[in-house]
Amino acid sequence: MIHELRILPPLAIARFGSAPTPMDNYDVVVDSEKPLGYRLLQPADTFQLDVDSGEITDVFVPDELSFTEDGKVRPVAPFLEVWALTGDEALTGGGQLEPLTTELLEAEGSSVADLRWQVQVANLKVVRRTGDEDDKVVADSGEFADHARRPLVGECEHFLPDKSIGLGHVQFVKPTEAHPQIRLRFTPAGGFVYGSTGAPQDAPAPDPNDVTDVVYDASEGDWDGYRDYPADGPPNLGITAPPQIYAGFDDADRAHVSYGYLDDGCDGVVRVTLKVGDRTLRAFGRVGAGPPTYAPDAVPIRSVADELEQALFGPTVEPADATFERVEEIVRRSFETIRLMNTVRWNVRGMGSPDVPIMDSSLVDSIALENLHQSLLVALRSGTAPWFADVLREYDEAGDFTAPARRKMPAMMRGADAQLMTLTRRQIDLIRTVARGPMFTDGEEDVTGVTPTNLTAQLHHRAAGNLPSTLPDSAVSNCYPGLEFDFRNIWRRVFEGIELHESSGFVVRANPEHSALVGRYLIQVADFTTLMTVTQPDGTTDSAFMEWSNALAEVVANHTGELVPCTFVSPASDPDPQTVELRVRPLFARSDAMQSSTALIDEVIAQPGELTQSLCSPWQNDYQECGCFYWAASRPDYVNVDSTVEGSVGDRWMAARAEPKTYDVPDFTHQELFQGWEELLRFVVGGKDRE
Amino acid sequence: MRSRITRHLWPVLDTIEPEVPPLELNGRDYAIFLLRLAAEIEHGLMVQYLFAAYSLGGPNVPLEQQGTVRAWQETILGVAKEEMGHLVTVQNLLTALGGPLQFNREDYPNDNVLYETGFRLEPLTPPSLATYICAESPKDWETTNPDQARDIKREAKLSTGGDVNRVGRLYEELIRVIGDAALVPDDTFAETNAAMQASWDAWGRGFRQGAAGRQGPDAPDDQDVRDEHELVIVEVTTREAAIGALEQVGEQGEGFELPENEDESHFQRFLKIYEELTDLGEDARKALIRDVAKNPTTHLNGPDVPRPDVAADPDKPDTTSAITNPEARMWAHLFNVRYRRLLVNLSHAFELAADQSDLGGPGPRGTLINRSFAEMYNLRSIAGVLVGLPLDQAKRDDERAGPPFQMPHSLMLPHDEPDRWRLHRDLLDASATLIERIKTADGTGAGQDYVTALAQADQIERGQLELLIGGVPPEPGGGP
Repeated sequence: MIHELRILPPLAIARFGSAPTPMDNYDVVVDSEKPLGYRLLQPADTFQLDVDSGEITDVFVPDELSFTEDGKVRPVAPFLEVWALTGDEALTGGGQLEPLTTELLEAEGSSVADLRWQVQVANLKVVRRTGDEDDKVVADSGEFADHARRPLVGECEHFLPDKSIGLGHVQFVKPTEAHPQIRLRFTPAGGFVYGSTGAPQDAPAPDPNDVTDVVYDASEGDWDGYRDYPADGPPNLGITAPPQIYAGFDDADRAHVSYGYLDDGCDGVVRVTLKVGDRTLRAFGRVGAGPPTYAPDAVPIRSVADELEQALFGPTVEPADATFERVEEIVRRSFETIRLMNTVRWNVRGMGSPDVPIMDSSLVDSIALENLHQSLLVALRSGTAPWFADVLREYDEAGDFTAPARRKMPAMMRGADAQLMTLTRRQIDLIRTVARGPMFTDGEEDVTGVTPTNLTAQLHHRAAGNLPSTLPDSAVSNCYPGLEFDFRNIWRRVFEGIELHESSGFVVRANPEHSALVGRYLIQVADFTTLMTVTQPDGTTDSAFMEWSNALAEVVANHTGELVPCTFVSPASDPDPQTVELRVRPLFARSDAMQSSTALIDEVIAQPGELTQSLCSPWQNDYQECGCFYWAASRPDYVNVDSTVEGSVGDRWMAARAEPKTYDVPDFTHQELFQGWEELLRFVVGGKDRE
Repeated sequence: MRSRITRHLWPVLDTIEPEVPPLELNGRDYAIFLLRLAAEIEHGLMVQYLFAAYSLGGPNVPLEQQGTVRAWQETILGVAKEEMGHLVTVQNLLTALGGPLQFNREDYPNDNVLYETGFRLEPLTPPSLATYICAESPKDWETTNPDQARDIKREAKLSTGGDVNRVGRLYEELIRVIGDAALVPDDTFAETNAAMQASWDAWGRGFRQGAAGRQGPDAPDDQDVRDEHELVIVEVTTREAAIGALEQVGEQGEGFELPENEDESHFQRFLKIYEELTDLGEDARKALIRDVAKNPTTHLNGPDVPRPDVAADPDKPDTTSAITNPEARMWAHLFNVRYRRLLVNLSHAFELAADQSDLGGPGPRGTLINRSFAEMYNLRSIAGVLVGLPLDQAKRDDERAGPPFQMPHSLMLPHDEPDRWRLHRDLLDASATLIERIKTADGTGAGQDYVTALAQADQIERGQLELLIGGVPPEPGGGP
């Protein structure tokens, strides 16, 4: 008997590209003979989906991998599989999770015809700034059961008549005898930039407006000419962090003025329903569309998967889950990020300064740091307890900019709270837990397999035909603001009755009963402060909000569903602390059949578009302007690196290649990226440009 | 101890009326002599402590004791790290006075100024701890805690066959000598020296007081190791700085006075472990410590090694334990090569610091510093394998092998820079031979993943070395 449905993976990531053929599948594996080298990309089973019939007509392994097609990037288009929680009527033993297939449907007395889908995605980047609901760009497929390829048409009240933004396509894959599983494919948009009819006053030069299409009616909406810092009043306290990350120009007062550009990024919800007799079973999954992973053989140090695991399981790791492989993976990911950074430059720019470098400059050459990280990997392979937990930055040390503290790991990178980057508390606990083991034990276990209770396996489930970059561990999470998602947005509604800012304790909205809290700041939850001390190199101190993920890890782990005392203060000179009991809302959807949490972010926590609303607009702005390199695994910095006697030499990734190689060349401009990113930006494999 | 050392040590040993400086030396030379002796002692202590730390653990440790044993190991490793800091600071002092660096020491067992039987590599026991405590004890220990001092000194004496001298005496003499302008004139010190010395920035690795050894706010209470050790790495360009550096080193471990904070000094940390260990019965203690052989060596035919048909006397600490198990021998040889690489990287890094054109930028010096730390990690890794392998070819269930820490035939660096890089390459060649034998040997299979990774790391480094030697550039991207 089918008790419930699931869509796996619960969060799937698509990646832009305007080439007609989606990217072929590959596996990313560590070379067992060269464990210190780059991960290998091995071509893997790729589904050939006939868009006319909706059927998978072939499965092939490509001879070689090509990320582009005629100069255009091949999009990553994930499949979302439907799984069924099955078992006897009492669900004895918890049942099992198995793929929903035509055979299983038939056994239930149902058929494919009893399935319905609906996909809702949105781009809320503009409304996030303007606050005008008519600036929402929303696409709703409506309910469908056929297998046609359906466009997701992004519509907006403030668009010109007959104008829209394509946010991608979805297709219900027609099951066949060879491929009987129920699945849907989400294909993202092309990564285009759209413009506005307006011409903001005070622009230093005419807006080139070299966009794919002009869609926004500046006479209707205020996106064109929008300022986070208005000329005639105080800033809206709810502006994004970082602020002013939209395409535009700086006015005479150095306030950033929007050109009114939009992109075709989005996130949303995929729903499936199945009628089984007189029952209707429902499930949903989440999707998002973001830029390509330009270093597909590298994984971010801290990913959306790490955030989800901490939110699901808490900051403390069970000993059975604390394996050497997982510690090695963290070290490897650190290695993969710094390997793509010009660490000599970031030693004085990445949260440092020319006068106060983060580390002794003799130590930070890229090759030298590579060697150091390789030595860590070598030592871990011996089963030596990870000794380096001592030099990891604790979650409450993110604001310590004194010289010794800035050297802690991860170094040279920014965190989600704009301070120094930390790992999640769970990642740190993993390292410490493993460090406690090797003196006394032999071997280790690793539990895998999609089961009803193995939420980790569900979270990381790689649907058949899906690339590794469709999963949340490929998405950078140290969000300031992020790339695929601004994952800080999942914390906004963690307390029932109020809505917080994604990066601070500022109360943005509240239910009527708590309306007095709007405009105040949450500084304490039960025994846990939301603030940390920020200490400058000269010793002066201040306070700042910690990133929610680490600050609330224990609250979510131990008090979900409970009332907790929450203390708020006023931003005025008289803090006037006020403590209110609020209930901690579950972050994850609940399985009624199993009476337990699933691995799926609940719909109340984030509506379509809300996981991406505070990202840069358009996304290429982030590439051009971000001064942080915690995401070098996604956006490389330093490539084609060679050793010389004087140190390493290489190319600047986001610039034209020069001969001889040099890092000192200008980045591609905003306009070059907006319209030419597919041709200009190169995929990097093994640290080198992929021609 | 070599007579060329002991004949100048009367002021320290107080056996006859001291004449300072001793005949044949002037004041500066005498200070350099003492500093080089201090370097040998710091080096010897560090290795001794590392060995003791590696002997802890094993599959027989009861679950309820694992937290305690782990805490002991981290504490002793922390002390060893601090001794490394002392060693580096002593090199800075030598540089400040214009003396040659000293990374050399005698193999184990050896006699030295501290006590008759000298340094030994042996598993952690109450007698060995008693020895460490006495060596690190403060001057007024007998006054402030006479019963404790008496009992522990007696135990140490039984173990070593004689009184155990305090390391602090050496530092007291150093402070006296360097503090005397008549012995060490003002013009001995120069500001320009600083660039030639090791800095905390380069060598500190993020370990500062309160930052190292802590388990963090999320650690379970019973495993909250507040071992807040600190690396003392001090640059010295003035007499005051030199005295300050010596005082810091002394306060941290060699004990001028009983510190207020019981976690501060090496003396107090060893004392705490001693008290916890002696509270246990002998059988309980045995379960916590691996049965690692004393003074393990790869040397089979040396004069201090009994003939194969004569068993080593376990009660005679001045004998060595030959590693005869073939698999363990290969690992022990690999350990020695990597130990030599550590010492060569260290001394080469100090030599490069003397090159004014190589200051402040990335390049070979930074790589050498990083590689020094890489070799420390390797030593820990290989030691972890060795303490799990049998010592004796015939007795597989008996004593375990251990890291031998045997000194190389020479620590002298070639004069020319390319030749120095060739020496690094020579050591990689030697390592490659041993790795290949380990990989193909018919043994337990221990450490195979590790040597595969190590071989690749060495191959990458080799490519970079070829560039420095002036040969073929490495593959683009830095290696395979």
